[in-house]
Amino acid sequence: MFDLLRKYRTVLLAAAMVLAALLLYSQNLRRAEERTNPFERLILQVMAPAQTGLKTAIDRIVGTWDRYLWLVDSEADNLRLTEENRRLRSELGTLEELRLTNERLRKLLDFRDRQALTALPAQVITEDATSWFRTVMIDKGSNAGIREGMPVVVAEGVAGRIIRTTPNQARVLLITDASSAIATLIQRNRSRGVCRGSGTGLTFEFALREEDIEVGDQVITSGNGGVFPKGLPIGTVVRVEREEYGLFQQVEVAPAVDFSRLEEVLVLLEQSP
Amino acid sequence: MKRVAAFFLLSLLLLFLQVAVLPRLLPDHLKPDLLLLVVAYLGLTQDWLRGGLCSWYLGSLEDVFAGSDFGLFGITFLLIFLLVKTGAGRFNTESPLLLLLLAFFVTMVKGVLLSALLLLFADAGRQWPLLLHVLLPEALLNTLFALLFLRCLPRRRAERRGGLSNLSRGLSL
Repeated sequence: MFDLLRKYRTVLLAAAMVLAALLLYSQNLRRAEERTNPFERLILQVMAPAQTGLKTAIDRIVGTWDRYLWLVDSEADNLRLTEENRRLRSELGTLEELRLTNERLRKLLDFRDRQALTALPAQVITEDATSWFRTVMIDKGSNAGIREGMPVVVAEGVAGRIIRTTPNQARVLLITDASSAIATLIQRNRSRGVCRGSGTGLTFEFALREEDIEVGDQVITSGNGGVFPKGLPIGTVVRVEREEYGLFQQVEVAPAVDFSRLEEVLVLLEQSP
Repeated sequence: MKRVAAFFLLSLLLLFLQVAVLPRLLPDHLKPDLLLLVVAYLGLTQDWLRGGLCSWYLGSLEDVFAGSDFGLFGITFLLIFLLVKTGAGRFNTESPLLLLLLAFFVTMVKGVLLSALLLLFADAGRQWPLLLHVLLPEALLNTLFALLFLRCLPRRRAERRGGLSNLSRGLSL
């Protein structure tokens, strides 16, 4: 017996390691809550100071270069910004009038503002370690009140949701990741569907062939699914393809958020009742 | 103990480069897998137990910063190590080109293994186009970084050990 074990020691050792790794992976797949394990917490806490330090150093270098050394375009920028400021001031007046009108109409319709959310600003410090997935790390964690599953947005629209948390960091699954799916609807005609990530863009799935969807339509969150509040911008329809047969049409959506320039995000902490 | 600490620090340093430094220098979403190169190196130099455990650890480390399910890269890296280790005896490890070819090969294998594992255990239907899209560029990038990695191999150790470490000398000639 021992001779047999000794003879196949290497094979048995390799099989035991593969089995253990497989069990660990499958156990993590099934875990619905508290998905951040002690190993992940340890590594993230060890690396946190270096990540934050690097970001601060790079920001300082870029800031010094832009503010004090690279001043070639400053005069032209100044003129352009003055002009832009004038234009924006006039637009602001119009928008203020629109806001007041909107408020009046909301009161008339007894429309409750369901998006009174507490938002926590955070900075993106690192990207995903591989080219295959779309996740980012932010510099706020459970100490700041962040929990797994919370939505993450930017001014342009939805960015993703929290999938891991440690005391001072959290990892965000971006909506462009292939494993991301959000319940959405077309703003114009309220057609429902699921927006899935495809790496760089999104696809609007389960849209019936007879639904009237056009290029340029805005896609927003539907509020179903319990993660994202209703009405947040997701993106714009850029391609619609209806084949001769089949139940659904193929719709491609360009995300509202430019993920290549993602630096600051807002984590929506809670919804008011 | 010193060697364990050095390996731990080196792995964190490579991971730091991979997630925080290189994405700022390289085009969108394209980054080398430095830890995978270490796994390939371990496959050529270490024994089954030590190399296997180190590869599993490196995969788990990558899991902390990649994807959404912990353990996926752990098992992928372990399988890659076993594969390289199985084949290592049949190759001329003194050839400087070996690690370069290996870097390309293991990146391809990583793509296949990740897809297979996602297909078996999770929803991989959406992952395929993305995997195919970045597989070749990443393999080429890893090969390039393997070249840099070879140039950084410690010379003194190379002289003591022979074998794969001769790659370093071979390339610098």
